[in-house]
Amino acid sequence: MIFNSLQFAVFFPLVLLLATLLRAHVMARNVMLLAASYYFYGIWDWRFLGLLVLSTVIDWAVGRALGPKPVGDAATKEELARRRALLVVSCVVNLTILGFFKYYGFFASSVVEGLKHLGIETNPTLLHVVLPVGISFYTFQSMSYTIDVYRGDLPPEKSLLNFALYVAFFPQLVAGPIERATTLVPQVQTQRRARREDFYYGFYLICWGLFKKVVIADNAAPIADMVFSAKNPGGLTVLVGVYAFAVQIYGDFSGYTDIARGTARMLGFDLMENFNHPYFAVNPSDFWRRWHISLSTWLRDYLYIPLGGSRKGEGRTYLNLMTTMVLGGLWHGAAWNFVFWGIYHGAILCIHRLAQPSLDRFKPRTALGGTVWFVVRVVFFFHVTCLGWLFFRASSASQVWQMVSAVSTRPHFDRGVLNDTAILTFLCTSGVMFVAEVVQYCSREYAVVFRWPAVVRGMIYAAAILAFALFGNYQGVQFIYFQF
Amino acid sequence: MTGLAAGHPHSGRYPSPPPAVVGGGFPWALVVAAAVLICVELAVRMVPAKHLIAYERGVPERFAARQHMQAFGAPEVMFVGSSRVHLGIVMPEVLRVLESEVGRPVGGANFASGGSLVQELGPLIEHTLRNRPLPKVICYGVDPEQISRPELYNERASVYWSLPDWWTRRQEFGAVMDDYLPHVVRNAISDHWLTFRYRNRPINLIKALARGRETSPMRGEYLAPEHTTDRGRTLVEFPADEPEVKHHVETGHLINGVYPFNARKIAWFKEFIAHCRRDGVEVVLFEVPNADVFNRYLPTDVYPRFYEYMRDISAQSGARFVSLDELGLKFTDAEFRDPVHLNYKGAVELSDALSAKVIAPMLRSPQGGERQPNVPRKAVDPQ
Repeated sequence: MIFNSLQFAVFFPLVLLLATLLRAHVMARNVMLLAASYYFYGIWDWRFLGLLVLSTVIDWAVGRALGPKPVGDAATKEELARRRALLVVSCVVNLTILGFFKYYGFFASSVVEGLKHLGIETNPTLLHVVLPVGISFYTFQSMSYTIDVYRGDLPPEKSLLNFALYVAFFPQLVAGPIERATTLVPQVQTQRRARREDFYYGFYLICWGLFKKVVIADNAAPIADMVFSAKNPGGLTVLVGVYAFAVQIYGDFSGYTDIARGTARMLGFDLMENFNHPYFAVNPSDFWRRWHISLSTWLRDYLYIPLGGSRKGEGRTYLNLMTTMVLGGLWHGAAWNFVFWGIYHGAILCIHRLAQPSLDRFKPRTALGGTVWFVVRVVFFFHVTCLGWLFFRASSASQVWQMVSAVSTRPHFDRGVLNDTAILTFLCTSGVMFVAEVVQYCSREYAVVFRWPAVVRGMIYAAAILAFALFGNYQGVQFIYFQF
Repeated sequence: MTGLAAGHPHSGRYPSPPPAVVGGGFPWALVVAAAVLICVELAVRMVPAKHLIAYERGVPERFAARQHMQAFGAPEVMFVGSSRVHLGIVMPEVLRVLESEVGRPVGGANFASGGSLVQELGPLIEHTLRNRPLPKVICYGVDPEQISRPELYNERASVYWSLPDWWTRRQEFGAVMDDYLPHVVRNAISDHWLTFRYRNRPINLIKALARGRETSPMRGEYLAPEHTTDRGRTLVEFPADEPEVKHHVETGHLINGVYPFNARKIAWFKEFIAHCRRDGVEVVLFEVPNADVFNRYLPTDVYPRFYEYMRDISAQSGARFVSLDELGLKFTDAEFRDPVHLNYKGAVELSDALSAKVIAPMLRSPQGGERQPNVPRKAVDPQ
């Protein structure tokens, strides 16, 4: 089931009604929410529910077996070894499931291709494994629980029901945010009562998220599709296509997150922010503090820091950065373009780390100078990000090269590639997003509109409804991150 | 990690308080929003519908046909079919010939659109019969493709469906029809909310202003874009790429080398013609041509079987089938713009012959009495 569907428009009010009726009975509410979450997921393919349940049961059982972190005399060598073995079991099971369903085909075909280049012809039977929706999200979420319990950051959850709901909670099940057990499990364990403010804010997040998806992202998608499927597009066409993809992926993913947070908020739950105006980032570090925050913090806490972070010397820091970003790229999908995207981001993080001392020396003396310097950095880094999106969206390395060389050598616009209506609609809708982002960023409030007088708010709501009616793409386009 | 420093939302911001709404008592903002939307809707309702219907090739032209019918009812003479009819009929020419033959202005429209097959045109005709006034004659351009291929309904057919139409199909075809429910809900909303119905117009208007002219050719006020900007194109000057045509026929029209005539689609023809005739609407099935370069890659039995099916449909339903031979037409490469579409010259020939020899006599007959035209009297060529 997707958020921008009629099914969800019927499903969610029903779940909300039941959750409200059961708000005083935690167990009954959790049973209902778990059933609803499994239904939400099973609608795609009920057979994959088995994987979700397997991952849940194993991590819950491992968590129970781990128990509280031993301290003092209890921390014997054998006990520590037993706990480590349990953690390894959890990680191996989760990563095996993820590896088989997500990466088997990629690695197998890459090996066959590699051997072919060495002159060794092989003809193995490659399994065409179907990728279960959201597997990367719920696997990481479930793994973070066992790691936190192992580290002693969290007591093991006694109730399988509560833990299963933590893993499968439908608003964030298929595309995040990747919640930590330390924040979501306590909410699952207690009564949740959505106040009127929660209800308003949740509804606002759902509407704004749907707007970003249906009006902004889904109108940018045809432009990106047309450009990336064109043969030898001109440089200006490529730029338009890449900008469109930048708008699409942000509108799509942050729209999904807003709807997820909004639905959770209306049910009385609080999910983490996943985006913080990423296109206002001034450098790669800043970007990763603003883009897909739940993944970047996961990678930081469970990969980068355990690898040694920046504690083991400069060379090792760069290696850790590259390793983390390459694996982060690979997390997105089993394809070389995601690996290259990861390498690209690892490289720009390293370059920025190298150049930071020099950059820090440059400080504009006036406020105006500071603003201009900020805008220059934002615009520059937006284009650096866009170059990364080219790796992310392109179907092959040769397409990346072709498009980059088109920008530098053939800077023309192909009228035949892009449809006038699609361009006009894209310009109108992305203009709305640009204004909204600037206003939100400058006010440092996501729901800044709540602070404005009722008349102004009403006009904005009316304009948004009209934009929805006039420009909305009602084709029920899938969210990009569902494929991950 | 350099990019992932402290300050992220996991550093103790749970539960994050929701922002308070200014004046959070009575929802005045929603009242203001509703008032604005009502004002916009009233303004839209005051504008004549002909200024609100957006025309563009593809799916939007289906919406345009639907909106024309909702706003004006059907024209007296209505053409339906695929792009072969869209480009093969020149509406201003049809209206000119009919006026001179019948002795009065005749209203007409060409609701043919690219890729339309019977599964889409059936719903269009059902939609037509629900609106008033009804057409006198529906002219349906047919070629073998209209009654071939296994696929049945598609998203474009749902442009014309109401909720009961959808429900009928769902009972017949099952859950596969659920994909079309959002389109049908959209139709239901647009029946009552005209701001939403004419949603394609703002962008279309910007484009029309940029071009300096309107482009909707449906009711004969204007020529189709291909009949104005590119009217001289012929297969003689721009010959088709034969291997490409062969590949197109083999992959797009044949299944394992066999032309896939479809009995269900033939039955649909009979059903909708019977429906039309029950409502007093005459149906003419007229053959639309393909160029020789296309036909030569079809199996030799395709056209004999096609004529046989059409004559069978005609005999059982009472609709007239008119072949190109009966119209006395033989098209050469000089009258085609590409292997399956007539150019302007060919389209004028087909329009003239069909109007003079088939449609005008039907309008002159006792059943085709006087009726007020519902389109502008004179067709205009903006060029």
